[in-house]
Amino acid sequence: MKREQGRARPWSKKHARLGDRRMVLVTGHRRESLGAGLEAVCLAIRDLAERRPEVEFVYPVHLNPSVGETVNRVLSDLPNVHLLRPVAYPEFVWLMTRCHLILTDSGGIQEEAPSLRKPVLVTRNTTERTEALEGKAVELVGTDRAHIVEVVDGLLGDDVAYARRQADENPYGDGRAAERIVRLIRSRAW
Amino acid sequence: MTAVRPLILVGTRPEAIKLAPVIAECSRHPREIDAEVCLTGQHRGLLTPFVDYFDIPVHHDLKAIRSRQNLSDLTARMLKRITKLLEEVKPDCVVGQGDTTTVMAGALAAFYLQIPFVHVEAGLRTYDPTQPWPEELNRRLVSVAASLHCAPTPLAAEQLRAERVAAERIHVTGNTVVDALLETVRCSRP
Repeated sequence: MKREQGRARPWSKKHARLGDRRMVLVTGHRRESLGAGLEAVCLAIRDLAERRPEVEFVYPVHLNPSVGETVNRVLSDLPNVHLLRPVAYPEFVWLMTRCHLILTDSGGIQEEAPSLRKPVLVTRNTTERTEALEGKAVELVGTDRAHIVEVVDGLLGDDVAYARRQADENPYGDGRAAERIVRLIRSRAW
Repeated sequence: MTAVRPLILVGTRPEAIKLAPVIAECSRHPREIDAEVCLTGQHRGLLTPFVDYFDIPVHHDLKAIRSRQNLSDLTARMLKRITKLLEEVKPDCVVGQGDTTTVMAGALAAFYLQIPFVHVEAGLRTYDPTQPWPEELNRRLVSVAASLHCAPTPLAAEQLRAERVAAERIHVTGNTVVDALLETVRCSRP
């Protein structure tokens, strides 16, 4: 791993315009969410950005043209919405540690965020990762515009409710999975 | 005893992130493991920065991606190229992660050649073949073909047992994405 690329300082410098304001991190590009679903999620972010001008919304946009078209059309003219080109992994990790909460359709982020104690709202109707749903660290919000606005706005405005969504431990792993997997491979456990 | 020779398949960005800790751990045991890494060329433009960041050694690059190809073309091309590579390399096992076309074609190619397949992040299910599409089908196919199932959580392991996957082939390892995340957070401390 290239440690110099991971350093926090350049990322905080690159994103200096965020200041110390609350930030919502957004990602979304799954095949089944394209079209109407993505449009509704973008409109919800638009509503939220207008309702809460004191909050910054950061959205690294996937290179897939059908994603970029919708996102740019709905969100490019708002001062507190920052559409980024796809970011490298250490920069994304920095954004995750910096954010207040995450709105995403990604599976991996649902697995990572509990380790950082960041609540995740998932813009899908189903998830194969149900372990964190029980503790409310992760919630499915679907792709209904009004519902997404209600849930995100609720968490931005209620620090007690927010604190209840912060995971105490990560049900998906402890950071030693590779060690166990490689031990199985070494012992030809198949 | 001679070193185990796994061939590790990496297609998309999430696979690079989630297999990077496994590849790094293999390199910590050079006398016992001699791993080779194959990029299949899914999402190539998006993949390079991740391969660079995690210092993933690339031994083979199948370049199976074409613009505007459908899933049948991608699957067929991937299956042929992975098969050819397996015939050349003759690894002791093939390792793939998750629910992509890469892992599905890799498991099928290994199965046909009777090479054990190690599935990382096994046992995730929505039980709705259209959600996520086509990933739910991919991972179910892999569970039928694989010889070793590395389940991230007890729930995933339970789901595999419910499908009558042999219990002794299922191991709860945790999810490697947490390994990658915690290592990146460690590296980014100023």
